Amino acid sequence: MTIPSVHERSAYIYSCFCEALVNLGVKFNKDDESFRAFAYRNGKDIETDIIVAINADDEWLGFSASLNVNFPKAKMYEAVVILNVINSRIAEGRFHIFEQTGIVVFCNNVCFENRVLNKEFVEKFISYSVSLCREIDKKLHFYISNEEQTLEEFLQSCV
Amino acid sequence: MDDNQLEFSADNAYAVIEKALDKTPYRVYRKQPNKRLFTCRARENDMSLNFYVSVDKEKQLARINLYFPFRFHRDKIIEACLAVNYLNGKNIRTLFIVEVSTGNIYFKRTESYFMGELSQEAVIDMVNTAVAISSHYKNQLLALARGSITITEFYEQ
Repeated sequence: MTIPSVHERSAYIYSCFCEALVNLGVKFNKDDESFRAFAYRNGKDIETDIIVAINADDEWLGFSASLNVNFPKAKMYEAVVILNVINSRIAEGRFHIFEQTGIVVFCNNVCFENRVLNKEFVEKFISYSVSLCREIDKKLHFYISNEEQTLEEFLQSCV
Repeated sequence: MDDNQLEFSADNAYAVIEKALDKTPYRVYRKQPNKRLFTCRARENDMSLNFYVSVDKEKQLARINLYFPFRFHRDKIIEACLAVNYLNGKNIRTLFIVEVSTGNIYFKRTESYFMGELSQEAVIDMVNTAVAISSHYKNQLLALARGSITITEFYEQ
């Protein structure tokens, strides 16, 4: 079996994730060869975008999303506790908050080998990551804008 | 993939993990055949580190959780969360977590295995890397837990 070149593998992954995003109902723009895409939230309650970057090299497929949540400074300590608890409950990837800006990011990186680099794998990986970002983005926005929801109630909603 | 294939893959993965752990200098001091959970202990600078190797057969992942041998007091849970948030921003493949209810800090690493093929080399590498990461961060985390340094000093280190 001929092992595909890095370029061929990258092109293949790119075609897989473009198809996966289309299947997920997400619009995307190819702006360069670093596999950047933009995912927009669906539905009527669109307020912010989830900016997605997908990077692929010889052995790794990486997905990162920047959620435009912007936690207020006053809730920063709550934010790190919240994200810590969310991280403990998800199977793959992690949420991280930049304390200086309050911006929440999600990162998921997986290692693959020739034999598992198939369309199904890439689609599952992207589908999981995008769905998780959408779900958490929505919950975080609701928590920030809803003064009546306690931290305990929020954490219950994330089970 | 049907259920039989999935079960076979998990069996195979556990067998590989068991053989791989035997090749490490770490002591497998308890095995739970029913739960198929390997509990191991590594001694690092007179400090025991407990780690647990398990398999998620549904997701076809081998996972290692390594616990630091100390816990944060309830008054310092916020500092602990700030610390792991910082560490998670710096480490790509390792996820640090605070158990808010206990103050325990642990981290987990995962390795994918497909078609029932998880190599011993991958398991050994995963375990050794986890112990090395623990060794790298434990002193700073311990100092933070004891109140010897502030969270700002933790960031600077």
